[in-house]
Amino acid sequence: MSRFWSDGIPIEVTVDALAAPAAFAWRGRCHTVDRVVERWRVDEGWWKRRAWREYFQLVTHSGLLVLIYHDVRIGQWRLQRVYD
Amino acid sequence: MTDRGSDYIELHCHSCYSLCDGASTPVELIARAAGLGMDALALTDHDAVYGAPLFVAAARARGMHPILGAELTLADDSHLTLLVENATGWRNLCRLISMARHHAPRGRPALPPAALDDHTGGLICLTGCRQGPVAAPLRRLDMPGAVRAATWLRERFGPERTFVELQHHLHPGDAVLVRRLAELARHLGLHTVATNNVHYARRDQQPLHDLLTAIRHRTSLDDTGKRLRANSEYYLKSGGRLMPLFGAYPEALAATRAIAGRCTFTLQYGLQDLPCFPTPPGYDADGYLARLCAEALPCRYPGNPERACRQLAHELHIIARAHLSNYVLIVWDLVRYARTQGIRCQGRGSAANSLVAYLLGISPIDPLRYDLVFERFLSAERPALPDIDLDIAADRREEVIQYVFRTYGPAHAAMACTFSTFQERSALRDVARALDVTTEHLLLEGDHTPDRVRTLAATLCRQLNNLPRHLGQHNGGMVLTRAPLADRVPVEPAALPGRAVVQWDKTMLEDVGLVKIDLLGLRMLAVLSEAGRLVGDQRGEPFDLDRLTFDDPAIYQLLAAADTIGVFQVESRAQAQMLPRLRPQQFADIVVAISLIRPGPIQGDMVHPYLRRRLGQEAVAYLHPRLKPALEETLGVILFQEQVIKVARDLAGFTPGEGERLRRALGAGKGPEAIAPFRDAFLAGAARNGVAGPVAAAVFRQLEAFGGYSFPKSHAAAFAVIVYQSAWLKRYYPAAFLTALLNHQPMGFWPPAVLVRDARRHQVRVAPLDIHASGMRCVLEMDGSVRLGLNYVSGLSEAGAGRIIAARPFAGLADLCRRTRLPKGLVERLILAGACDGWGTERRRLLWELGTFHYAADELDLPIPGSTVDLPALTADEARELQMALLGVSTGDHVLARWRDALTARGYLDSLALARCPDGQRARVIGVVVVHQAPPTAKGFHFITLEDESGMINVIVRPYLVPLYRERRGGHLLKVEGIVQHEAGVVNLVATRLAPLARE
Repeated sequence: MSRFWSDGIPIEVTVDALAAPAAFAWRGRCHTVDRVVERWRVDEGWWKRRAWREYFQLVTHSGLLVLIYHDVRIGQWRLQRVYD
Repeated sequence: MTDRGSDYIELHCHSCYSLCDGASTPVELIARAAGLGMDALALTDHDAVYGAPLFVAAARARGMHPILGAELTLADDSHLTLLVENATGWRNLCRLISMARHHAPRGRPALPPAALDDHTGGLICLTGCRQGPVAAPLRRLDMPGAVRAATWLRERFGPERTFVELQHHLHPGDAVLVRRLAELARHLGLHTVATNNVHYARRDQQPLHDLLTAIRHRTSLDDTGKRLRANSEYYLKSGGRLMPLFGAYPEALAATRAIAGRCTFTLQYGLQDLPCFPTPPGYDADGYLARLCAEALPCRYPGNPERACRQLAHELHIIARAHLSNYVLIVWDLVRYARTQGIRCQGRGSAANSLVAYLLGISPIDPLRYDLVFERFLSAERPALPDIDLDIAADRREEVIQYVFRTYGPAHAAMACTFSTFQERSALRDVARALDVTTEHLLLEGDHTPDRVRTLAATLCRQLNNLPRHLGQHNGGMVLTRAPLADRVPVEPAALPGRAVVQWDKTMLEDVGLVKIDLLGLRMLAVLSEAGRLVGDQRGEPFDLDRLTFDDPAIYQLLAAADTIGVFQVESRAQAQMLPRLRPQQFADIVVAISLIRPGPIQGDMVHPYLRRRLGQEAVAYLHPRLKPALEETLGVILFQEQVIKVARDLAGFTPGEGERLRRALGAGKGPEAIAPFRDAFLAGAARNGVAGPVAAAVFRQLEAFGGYSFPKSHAAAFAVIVYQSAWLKRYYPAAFLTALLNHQPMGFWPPAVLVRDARRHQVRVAPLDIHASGMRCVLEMDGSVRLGLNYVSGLSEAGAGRIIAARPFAGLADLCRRTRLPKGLVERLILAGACDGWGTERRRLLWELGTFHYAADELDLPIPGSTVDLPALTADEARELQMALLGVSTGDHVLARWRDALTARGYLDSLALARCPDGQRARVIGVVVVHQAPPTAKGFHFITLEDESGMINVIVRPYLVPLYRERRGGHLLKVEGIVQHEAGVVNLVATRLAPLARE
């Protein structure tokens, strides 16, 4: 079942040498990242509320396909989508 | 790993000359590249090389290697990045850009693909961004389409000059596209190259780039939506930053260095590009020029021309050595053409220093008689190009421009472009629209607009300031080349059909070494033409203003009395204050008068000492006797640029050419290091002449202090001719002069209302607007009155005026309306301005009658015959106010004339009485505010000029009074009490109290 949070929910993330997520904690469980499918950056809306984010679409070892982003401005990680 | 990264050179980069797209100036981009340790950078603006000269200059200043190119828009809207390898490539790039600009509507360039069949030599092709002809099909998964496009390019540029361009801006899909493009390149045997499609130098300029995009689309930022780039990755990045993105393709990064190494083209042109002036058989340009000058000698110098011959030989030698004979002949031909068409023109600036220019009739000034210096214009040592600019009667300048196009052809002649830049006020409107607020919100205090928005808007406006927005109207600079222009610089169609514009403005053309001629419009020349014609009509024989000699004492009396309203250059308030002190008596004094009004700080050290010496209040002294010949004419004070050259020559043995280089260095405001070598040479030369060290040092210090502010005497002399001629017309034919002045507004220092009142004080009758007597323009009537013309009715077109003239006489108002079909609003204006007073009907009645008319589509119903109405007549005051409001001029009495007796009884003086007051007396005046000046260099003092029925009153408002008088507009009555300051014929009233008059 696909779940989507428009503002994302805060999560804890550990990163690897390339500043990409290696593992994250959600709902009390720790998920390790198998591979990064795609990563991209967004930097918009500076005239109202700036959204400067680095997105990662990942597959975890637990078989989840998720979309998490790093809010560069405040240095916080958020989970935005869990794909079906 | 870092080695390969640091070798990266950015080859796809946009400056602010990608109009309303790039956010950084060429200088900023070069500076940033230098800061990143790059030693080369490419500039690839959209279908343009507007930024090339600035870019090249900035790069050279830092020892960096500039690579030129452009991003071309193809007819199918795809983009191609082209880089220039060599001179052939530059030529082809210019041609391609010109074609793209000509084959499409203005502002939306589009290159027909067939153009690439023949114009690819010397160019390296990068296949472009996501919108490129190769990437776009790939994104659509149209592999065959991408292969077709890449092959097509490879056929035209060859495998060694075609590179598949890879870009990665961290958008979803970028990595995949890079992979596919790399595969395609391998498949086709092409190399890849990585670029960052830079649109701003630093990441923090992304907002400015977004703002420009919104402005370009005329939408708010919110509505611009997907047309904004999704992130801020389009800044100038070092190879190190790009390596993670192109990790699998290090050869793409390395290729940038290889390509940069191949692009060795340098931008510089020389004089030999001037068209060859067609000379008679047997003569080359040098010979023909010499012949023309020799033929003119006896006429200009009857009698003993020995000195002139020597000077002529000297000048012709330098002109020939500089390969400038063609240039002079071209200008001579323009002047000759203009004169045959009866168009007044004369050379301006440093050209008057040249005897050749005088002999050929380009300059009206005899340089020998006025002791000018040829080397100020051109010398063997002068590195810069000479400037021959022509002042042409403004109303007929177009004809001369057309002549240039006709004579040299559109392939060899074009106008220099100008850039309209974002300025405070227009920037505010654009920013407001982008932020989706009104401009009022941004300006008002205490509004509900949050402070954040206002701060943001202010920052954005500051960043926008002075960035180019679009091409503006041309300003008279013309480029002429022998080789086809489009080989040197891209040419675009101008706003007017049949006209073309090059992609560089006047400054850029000078930097690049392309010769231009400035054809400037001067309204006063048009005035002199018209007035001269009117005088000829009056006398019944042709009249030539140019036959006047400059020795009529009456003219100098007029100038000394500062009776100069309407006179060229010397009519301003500042001039009026200075002329009575100067008391001009000869032509040379007019030259000084023009040169004396200088910026604030210099007044104290230059102008005042001169005036004091002139009035005998201070002794004329020279730091050394050797300075006397050069500075005698200005009583020991350095005033003219030519004097800097002469001082250097007489005191320190500089050649005139070296003196001119010194003058340039002083005037360029460069630091002490630039001046130091000149100082050393000066002191050494002075010592060789036996001048004591401290004296030489003191003289050089003077040169440093004033040399930068000195005025070109040649320029002042050329203008002085026009001053004399206009003063002569004002003195002897004031009605003709006024007529011409009124027909060429706006111009000069004073508005038409003041010109009219001043003329009336000189016994010129000015007749009001009359639908039966007024012409299209102001005219001189048989009885010598000046009749206001229909050109003074704002909103009345030439066609409308024509209809009035063709259809008159009018039996009445209905007749007027029916037969001219003028809109009601215009007829109303005519009535209120008094144009219909000739019928003897009260204006209010006419208005009422107008109101009863029924304006239908093509018929005018007869008015409803009805009761007559009793309406009060307009008072004289009301009539005068209306005339002033509608026409900007008043032909009746001054408002104060009727009240003068009452005012005198209450102790108010008029301007004539004030002028008779002794220094220090208290006085009280009333006048209409005509001018209110607050010069930034005046230390807080304000200057107000009032006008009453007898003349002008100069009021000085000291800083402490300024806040008490807030009104900045003019046109109202002001009461002033103060103390008279009467010095050397100049009268000022230093205000102690001032108050606007309430309406009584």
